[in-house]
Amino acid sequence: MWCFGMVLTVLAGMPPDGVAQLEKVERLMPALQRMAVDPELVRAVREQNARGASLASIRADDDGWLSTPAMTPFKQRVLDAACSRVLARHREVVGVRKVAEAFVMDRQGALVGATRRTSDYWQGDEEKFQVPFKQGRVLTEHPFFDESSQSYVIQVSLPVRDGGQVIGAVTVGLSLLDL
Amino acid sequence: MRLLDALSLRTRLTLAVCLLTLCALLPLNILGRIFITDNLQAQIHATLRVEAQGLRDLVESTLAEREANARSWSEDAILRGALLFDTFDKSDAVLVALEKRHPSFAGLVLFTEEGRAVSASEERLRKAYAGHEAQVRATPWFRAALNGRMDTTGFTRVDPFFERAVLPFAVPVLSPISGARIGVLLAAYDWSQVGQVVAPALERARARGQQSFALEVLDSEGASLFDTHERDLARPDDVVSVEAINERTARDVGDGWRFVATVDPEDAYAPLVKAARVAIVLTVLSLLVAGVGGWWLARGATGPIARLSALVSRVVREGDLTQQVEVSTRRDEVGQLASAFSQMMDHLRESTRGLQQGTKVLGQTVAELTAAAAQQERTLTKQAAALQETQVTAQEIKQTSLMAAERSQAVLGVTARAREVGAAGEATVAASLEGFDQLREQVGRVASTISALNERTQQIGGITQTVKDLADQSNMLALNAAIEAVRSGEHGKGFGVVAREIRSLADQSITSTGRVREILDDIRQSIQDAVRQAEQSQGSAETGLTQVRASGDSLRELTGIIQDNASAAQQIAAAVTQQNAGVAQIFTAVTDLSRMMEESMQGLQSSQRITASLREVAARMETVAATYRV
Repeated sequence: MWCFGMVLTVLAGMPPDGVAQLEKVERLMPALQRMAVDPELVRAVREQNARGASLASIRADDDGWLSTPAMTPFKQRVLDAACSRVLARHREVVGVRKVAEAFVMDRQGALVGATRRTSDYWQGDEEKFQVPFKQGRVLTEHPFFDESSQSYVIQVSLPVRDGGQVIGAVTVGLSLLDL
Repeated sequence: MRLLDALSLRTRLTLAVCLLTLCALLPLNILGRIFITDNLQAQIHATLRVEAQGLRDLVESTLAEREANARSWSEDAILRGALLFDTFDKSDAVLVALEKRHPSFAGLVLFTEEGRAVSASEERLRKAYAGHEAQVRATPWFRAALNGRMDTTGFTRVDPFFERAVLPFAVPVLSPISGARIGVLLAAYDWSQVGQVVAPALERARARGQQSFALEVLDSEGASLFDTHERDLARPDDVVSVEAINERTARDVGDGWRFVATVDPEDAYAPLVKAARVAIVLTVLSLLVAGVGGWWLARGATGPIARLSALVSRVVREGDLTQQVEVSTRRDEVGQLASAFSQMMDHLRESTRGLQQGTKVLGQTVAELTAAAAQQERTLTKQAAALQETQVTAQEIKQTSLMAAERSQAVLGVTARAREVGAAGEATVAASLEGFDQLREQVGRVASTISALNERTQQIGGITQTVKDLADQSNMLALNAAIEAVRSGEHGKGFGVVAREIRSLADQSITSTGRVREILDDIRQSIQDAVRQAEQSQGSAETGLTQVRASGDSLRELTGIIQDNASAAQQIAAAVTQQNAGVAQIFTAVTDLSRMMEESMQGLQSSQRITASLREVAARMETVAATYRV
């Protein structure tokens, strides 16, 4: 119900076509849930959590990430990670054009895997991590224009659970006009 | 023409050159003005047409471009998405960017179908529209946009939201999904930008010098939408105006608009006025140049002629040929004329000098000739006189000679006769001797006859006396008869006449008687003389007889002399005949000479006449030659 209420809030002032597109997002939720519970994805998050990287090192990596828009070995490593491949697989299942991007965060909000270079490495301070990780619920944000994909995107963030415990979060950016 | 006659050649030449120049320039100017006017008119109209069409094309293309901009923007995915998904951060940025990229737009505003401004290129605009949804919905452009049209009615009024006149390009924004209308994009074109659009055209017009050039945009109803002409100033009635109409070839903004290019005729035709002024100035300048040139030419041509004329006048007036002709270095006709004139003057001088010298010599010669002629005349006159005398003398000689010849002949005849006479004389003398004897006897008889005659004469005297007495008595009787007749009165008249006649006869008888007596006296006297002479003759006859005898002797001697004389006379006669022939020849020669002399005299007189004429001519020539001073 809370989820629906949120959607209504989002829908206020939207034209019918807009509303219809958002409703399409709702219809994709099961597929997204399946993505969040994918064992390979969970394992990958678990493994990264197990590495126990400190927040300071994560921030340092984030700074390195933000310092250049160019591809770096570090970025490449993230994009080449097993988790990224899982995301890609799910993306193909849902629809490559529909999924503008998808990335998985560990317990601290650092990237575990991503379908493309995200704007930053560390998402720990953003709602898309905090709401699913801390509150354990799905967060559907207000649509926005994504510069990276140059399309209107709505981001849906889901908690990644390992045996009932939230160990991370996954965010999927859906291209609204491609749904 | 009389006026021209009074002008000098130089002035006339100058005038002619000016007139020719004017004749050449005037038609050119008139034709030029006509052509320039036509050309300028055509050019101005063409220029205005081009400007009007240019304005039309420019505005049309500008508006079409702006409309196309608006339409393309309305299809922008970001704007569509913004309306679809009610997220306007990016659409704001897009609108800002678009406005920045297209400054001719006063602003871009994205409206929802309800008229709510959701996104704008300026925050100010969005705020200004906030709460005025109903007002927006009421605008014609919004209503038209909802229907997929464009309506720019009344756009020239100041828009309350944009605070200026804007041309609203309002286009519907359609959903990319269903194509349903989801909003309206307003792209407000800043109408004042038209000023910038037409600025180059105005700039061009100013560069052309058309300060009054103006461009005007009228809508299809004729209402002014834009005008570069100052609002306070009214256009003149005769403004040159050309318009271009935006045809309704495709439905777009500006359909039926009229684009008018106007220019003040005073301004438009200013080049014409300027050209006319320049033409006048150039014409005047040309005339001045032509005048100066003509004057210079005329001066060059007439100057030497005038100097020559002055020189000739001076020569004519003062007869001064000593003046030198200034020979210019010019090679033209005038120079040749001056040179020829100089040569002529030299020749004239030399001729005059020669003439004067010749005249002088001629005068002297004529004088000498006259003197010689006079001398000759005198000589000839003397010769003629001498010849005359010679002729007369010759004549006389001739006559004398003739006479001598005749006389010699006569002498010869006489001599012959003398011979005969001599012989006859001898016979005569013998006869004379007998005659003398008879004469003596006859004289005696004559003396006795004369005595008898004397007596008879005395008797006649007595008779004459008697006749005279009878006459006296008759006279007396007649006198008495006359007296008686007077007494008898009227009846005695006839008798008186008879008495008078008788008296007259008596008087005549008396007179005749007197004369007879006188004659008788003379006869008596003569008879007495004859008696005496007869007595003397008797004595003389005696003497003569003696003498005749002596004469007979002498005569014989004389005959002998005469014989000698006859021979001499014959010789003389021959000589005289010969002489006479010579004298005749002399006379003929003298006569010829005299005739020749006459001819000479006539010739001399002719010569004198000719000399006189010559003298006169020489004098005249001298006068003529003296006319000129060399």
